[in-house]
Amino acid sequence: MTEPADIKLKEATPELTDILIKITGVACSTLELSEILSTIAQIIVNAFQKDSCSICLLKPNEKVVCVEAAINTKKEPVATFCLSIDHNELIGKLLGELQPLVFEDVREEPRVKAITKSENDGLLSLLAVPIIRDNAAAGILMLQSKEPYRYSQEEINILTVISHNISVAIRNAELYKNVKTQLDELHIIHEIGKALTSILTMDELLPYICREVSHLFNARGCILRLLEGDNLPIKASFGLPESIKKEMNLRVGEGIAGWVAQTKEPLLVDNVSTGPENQYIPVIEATTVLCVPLKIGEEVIGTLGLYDKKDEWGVTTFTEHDLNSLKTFASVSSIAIENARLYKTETEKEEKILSLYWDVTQIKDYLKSIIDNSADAIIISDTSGIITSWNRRAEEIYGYTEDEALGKFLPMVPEFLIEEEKRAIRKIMQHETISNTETVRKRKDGQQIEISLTLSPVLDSSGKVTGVSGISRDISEKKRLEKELIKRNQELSRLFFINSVIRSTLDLEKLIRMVLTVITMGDGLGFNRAVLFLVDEGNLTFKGVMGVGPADAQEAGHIWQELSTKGKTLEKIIEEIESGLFRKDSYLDKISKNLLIPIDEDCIFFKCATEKKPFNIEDARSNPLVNPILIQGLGTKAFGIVPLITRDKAIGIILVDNLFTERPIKDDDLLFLMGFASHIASAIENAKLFESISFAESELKHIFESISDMVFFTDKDSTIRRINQAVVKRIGKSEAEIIGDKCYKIFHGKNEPLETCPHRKTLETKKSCVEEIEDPHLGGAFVVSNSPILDSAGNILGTVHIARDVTELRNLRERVTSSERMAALGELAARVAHEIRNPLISVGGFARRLEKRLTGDTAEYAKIIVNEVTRLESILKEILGFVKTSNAAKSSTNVNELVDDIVNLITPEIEEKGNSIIKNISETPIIAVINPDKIREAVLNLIKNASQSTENGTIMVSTKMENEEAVIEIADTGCGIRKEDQKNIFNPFFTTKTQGTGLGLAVTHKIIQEHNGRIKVESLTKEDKETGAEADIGTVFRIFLPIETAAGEQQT
Amino acid sequence: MKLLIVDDDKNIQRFYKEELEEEGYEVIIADTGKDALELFEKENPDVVTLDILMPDIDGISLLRKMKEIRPKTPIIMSTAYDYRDDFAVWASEAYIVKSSDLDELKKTIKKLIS
Repeated sequence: MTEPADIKLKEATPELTDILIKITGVACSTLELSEILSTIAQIIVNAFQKDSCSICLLKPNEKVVCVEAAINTKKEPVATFCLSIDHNELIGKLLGELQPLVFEDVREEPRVKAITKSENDGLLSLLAVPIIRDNAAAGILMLQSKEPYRYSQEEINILTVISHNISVAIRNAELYKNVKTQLDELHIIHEIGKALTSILTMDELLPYICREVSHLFNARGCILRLLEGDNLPIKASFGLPESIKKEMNLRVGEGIAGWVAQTKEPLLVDNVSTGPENQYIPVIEATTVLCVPLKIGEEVIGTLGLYDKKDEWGVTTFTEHDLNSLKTFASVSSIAIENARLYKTETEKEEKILSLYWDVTQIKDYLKSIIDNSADAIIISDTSGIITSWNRRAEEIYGYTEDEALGKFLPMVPEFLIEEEKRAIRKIMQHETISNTETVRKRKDGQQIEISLTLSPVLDSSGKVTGVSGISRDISEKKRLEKELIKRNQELSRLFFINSVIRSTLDLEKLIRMVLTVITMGDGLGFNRAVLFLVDEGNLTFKGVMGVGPADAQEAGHIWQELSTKGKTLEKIIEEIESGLFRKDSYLDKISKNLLIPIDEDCIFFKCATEKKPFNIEDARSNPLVNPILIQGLGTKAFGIVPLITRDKAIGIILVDNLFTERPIKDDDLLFLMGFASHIASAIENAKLFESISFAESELKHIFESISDMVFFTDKDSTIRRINQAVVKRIGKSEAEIIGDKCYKIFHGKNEPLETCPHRKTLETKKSCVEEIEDPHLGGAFVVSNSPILDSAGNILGTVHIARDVTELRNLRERVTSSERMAALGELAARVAHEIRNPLISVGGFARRLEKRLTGDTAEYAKIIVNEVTRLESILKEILGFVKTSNAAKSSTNVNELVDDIVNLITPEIEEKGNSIIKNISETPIIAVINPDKIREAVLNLIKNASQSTENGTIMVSTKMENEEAVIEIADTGCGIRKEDQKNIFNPFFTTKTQGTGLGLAVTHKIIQEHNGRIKVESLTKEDKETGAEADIGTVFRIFLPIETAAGEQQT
Repeated sequence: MKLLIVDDDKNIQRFYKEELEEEGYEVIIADTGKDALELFEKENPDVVTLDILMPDIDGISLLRKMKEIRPKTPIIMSTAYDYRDDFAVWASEAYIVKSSDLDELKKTIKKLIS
């Protein structure tokens, strides 16, 4: 197709040759393609002396041709424009057939219009040749003139040649551009390469990549993600706000990056908003996205995405070229990232190795110290048995020093075991290990010892056996330790169990039973029997309190089978203890309770308690310190005892024996028993305390109930909360009726509190107060004491009332006042009497003397004086007899004998008056502590009194015991005492008799009072009888005297 | 027969002396405890009458001292008060309440002397 042009060229004119040289020069220059094309167009216009030249290039999609360079009629370049091939028949023909188009005058060819830009630009001739590249159309070269012109074949040929040159120029330009791009990329790679050498940490590298790539591609932003499992977290970004990063975590398959990571293919999205949904980027307002995978070989390690390319006019789309460049960049980045990763791993490895090194060093030191200080002998030998290492313990066990042992052939192996040892070494050579075999070794001094031996190979780094390490241990030591450990373990579990037992109850009886049971349980302490003695300080004895254990060997067998703590809860065990064979009132328990061991210096119990240590009695019968009661009662042959000590004081003793198994009691067992005896002791003490508290509580309750005063609790608004029996009795309502009601209603029958109620005062003052209340509702006088009940914060919760009925007391007090008044009067009378007594005697005495000497009337006068003085003297005698105090002592006196004497003494006087007297003395002696003279006087007074008021009647005197009191009764058949006079008969100076002062009964009353006795009178007069009384007329006086002990009397 | 009367009242001394001398007794009088003891020792009376209330020495002490000197001499206690339940008085041979009627005293002395 192009051949003709080449042929014609040979015949070309020198001018044409010149043009061609010029154009070739331009085409080969390094100028921009557009400049080259414009220059060529210019050269053509000038050379052909035509008006216009255009060079159009076919665009890659081959649908349009665009004018890349043109010279118009004014010799100026024109703006590029494009023509659609589909709509232009001529261009299509030209490009399809690759043949030049020639028109002398385009006006004759209407199809040409479409080729030129304008119909009016006045260009009439047209020569268009295809620009051919690789046998295909690449563009069009057009030459035009204003005048119609007929292009020669030569001209056509020249232009065709020029078009070839243009084709070459285009190729050159493209090549140059490619080279330049490659140079750019090389530059980036160079930059990344530099980064690689300088940046070794991911933290620095990844942001650097993002920043660089963004700048390189003029992108608004960049995101770098690395694959972690199925996730694609953002590791670095550029041009994005921090906050977005978190929200943009994707998984493989999600979004653009996810797609890229999954398919391992790059992706260019021109417009995200019109793309598929899975490519939608929710957070970034991006239009165009370019994303490539980061790959190491075929393995995806992440993605690198660019957003929104910018140029001088704003956002444009990424090109295919960008995509390729980014791929290149991505591969370089991947390597850089991987390198950084490797570096990191390497660093970590290095650190690890370093720390391992230290560890190993430490372990080595540690091992060395272990070997040195080991409780085991550690011996290393080479494979032939020559000792290479010998530790300190080996020196101790075998007696050879390190120096002595090193280099020798197994010096500690006895001759008869050498062969066996050699066999063992051969086994070790086969990487076998011999663990904990028990064998015999020989000490330097020849003594054989039993050891436990472990042999293992010593390996070098290649795993070759280079020696044998032997670890040996003195077995006797080990066995002892094992034993100790087991014992210690048992002790701990027992202690734990016992402690739980002790904590589980405060009931003393139950507690002691449990403790003793634990002592006798097979998996407890395992003694056959246990008996507890507590110190009874009152009776100076060790009193058996409880015994736990079987009655005979047969029962023992049962018990030890059944009773075990294994696999049982504490509750279950306690239940078994209470209902099982060790229950209360077992044979041993009954015996134990009857045991009383006197506290006595020669008794083993006493020693145990005072020395506070256990005793192991191996032969009870021959031991003089063992009380025979123990041997007889318990049938024991050998036993152990430990003291129970709390607060440094022995409170009891636990005795244990193994009567049935006859197992000797070990001192160790007793020491252990001793060990928790203190726990038991304090628990018993606690339980005792608890018991005494509950006892005190019930006692308090009992006291509360039995107080004869009314006691009740009210809350603040006077509601009764608690009462005692005295209240129930006095009020006459049931407890249920009283509790909950208001106190003023119950006690005073009122609807509101009393003005004088001490409860109100207590509430106000928070202090106790006492009021005396006369209450007509209950009928009596009461002293009410009221005390506040405070809570711990000092707030009043209510008050306690104690109401005492003082009606009787009041009456008594009134009587006391009157008698005091009387006594004062008596004292005065006595003084007066004493003062007048001597003068009176003188008066009376000399009157008597006068009477003897005088006669007649004067003698009569003297007689009157004598009589009157006599009367005065007798009054004085009575007054003084009443008043005078007695300091005579009392003594134990048989009241019967006393009264008998009195009656005997007085009988003549009674009979003289015409009355008879009857004695009725009790046959059993009545001994009272009295002043017999006083009582004699009192009784005499009463008998005389009876006699005086009786005419021809009978007086009966009797004694008896009645309600622990001596009773002396004087009854007469006399005239009786009137009711209204009865209350006055003991009043001094009161008398119904015509004779005497009336002091007789008062004196009697006083004497009885001094003896803490009582005197009562019953009397019926004639008038009483007439009004229907059934008893006989007369008076009965009864004296009641308390029967007191001599000791009690001396205290009063 | 010699009687020692111990009493601090002059009128009563004279009344007793006259009455008892009429009965044929030799009567000596002591009006203090001190005199009484001197006279008791010196005169050796057959019977002593003692008033329990004396200004210097009380009759009970006097009684005890006299019993120490001459236990067999009978002593009659005589007083305005009734001291009969005082054990000390029981050491005396008799006890009478002082009265203007000396019949009881005279009977007692006769009884003690016989």
